[in-house]
Amino acid sequence: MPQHAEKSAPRGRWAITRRSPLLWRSWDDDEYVVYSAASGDTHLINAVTAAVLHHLERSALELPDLIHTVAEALDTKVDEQFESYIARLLVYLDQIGLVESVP
Amino acid sequence: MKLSDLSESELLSRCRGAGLAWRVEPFAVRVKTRLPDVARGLHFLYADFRLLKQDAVVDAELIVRRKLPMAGWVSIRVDGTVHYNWLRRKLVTPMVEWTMNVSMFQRPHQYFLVHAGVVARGDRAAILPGRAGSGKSTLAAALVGRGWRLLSDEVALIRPTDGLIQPVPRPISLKEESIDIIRRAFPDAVLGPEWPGTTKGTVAHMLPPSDSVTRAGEPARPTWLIFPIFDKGASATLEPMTKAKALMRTADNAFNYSVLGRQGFELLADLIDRCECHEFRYGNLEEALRRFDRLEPSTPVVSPTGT
Repeated sequence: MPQHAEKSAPRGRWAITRRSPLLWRSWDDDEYVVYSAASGDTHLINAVTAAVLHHLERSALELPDLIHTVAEALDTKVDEQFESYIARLLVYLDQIGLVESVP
Repeated sequence: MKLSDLSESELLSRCRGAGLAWRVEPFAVRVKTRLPDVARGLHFLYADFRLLKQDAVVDAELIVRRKLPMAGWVSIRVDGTVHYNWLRRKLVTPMVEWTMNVSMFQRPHQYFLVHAGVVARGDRAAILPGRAGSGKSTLAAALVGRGWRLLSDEVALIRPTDGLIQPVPRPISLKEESIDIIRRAFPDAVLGPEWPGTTKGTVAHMLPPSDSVTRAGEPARPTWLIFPIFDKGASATLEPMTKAKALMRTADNAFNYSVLGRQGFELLADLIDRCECHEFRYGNLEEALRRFDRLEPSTPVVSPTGT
């Protein structure tokens, strides 16, 4: 994720881009590859990003719920740094067309 | 009948007339030209390849003509379209070979195409992806000199139906100092003339062994995916690469990944599933070959078709 991604994600619910089903492959717990049918792009992602996308694939979530769900899945405590990371990550995933805010 | 079975007059007559057509498995090509040196060059490079009827249906047809009245220049057309319009006559033979290479791999999207050398031991293939300068052609030529079967110098053709690699053995294009390295290391290897002054520097072609040409109909199982890096003076080191990173690197080297879309991702991921993935740094060819001699699959190879 580039450092210049904005710090805060817009309020509201987030989901996987509707027109872009994702194809997944992984061979270990640290690295995943995900293919976006909409853009034709393939992304190498880490476990945190994979957890975010997995949960948003299941259902649309608001940012606070997403943060807690992902933290629980990764057995990580929620602190300011983690919240900020997920918020910036969401903005970045939005920029590359993998997620979108939904009504 | 092979190209080598043609007499000089038959060869020139075909080239001047309806064309010289032959199989470069799994493709067919035809060349029409009145330039005898081009005809002789192809006769040498493709001596062991199967001749086709002159009117055979082909995947690519090249027409090589003089730019009259400019005696020192030629043009090359591919399927009726000008590919090179002003080409120096003295470099025409290597450029015809290069044009065949480009035209052959432009459209066969029935395969997943990866820019890679491919060699096989038994039915197990090592795919060596890499761009120009990575040392893949030199390594592939050396492995062929060591007894590996040549499947391809340039492009891995992966069959979507069963995930196997379709051989397309053609002359190996060696550049600059690689030419002497291969000549010295493998005195029995058959190399053609050197062509200085091409856009890739001095080029010479190593002929594929007859056995590789004869067995072009035998596909091989992808077993190793090895990214070579030539690093002068470096010891040969074979480092494991994570499969996710190998997938991304292979996608970078694939010609038609975006054309195939979702199917391309599935094919690539299946390929990665089947392969042991490594980065291979080498600075000395003999040491590199010794490392490849010890290469064994760590897991039993399972047929992609489940048989």
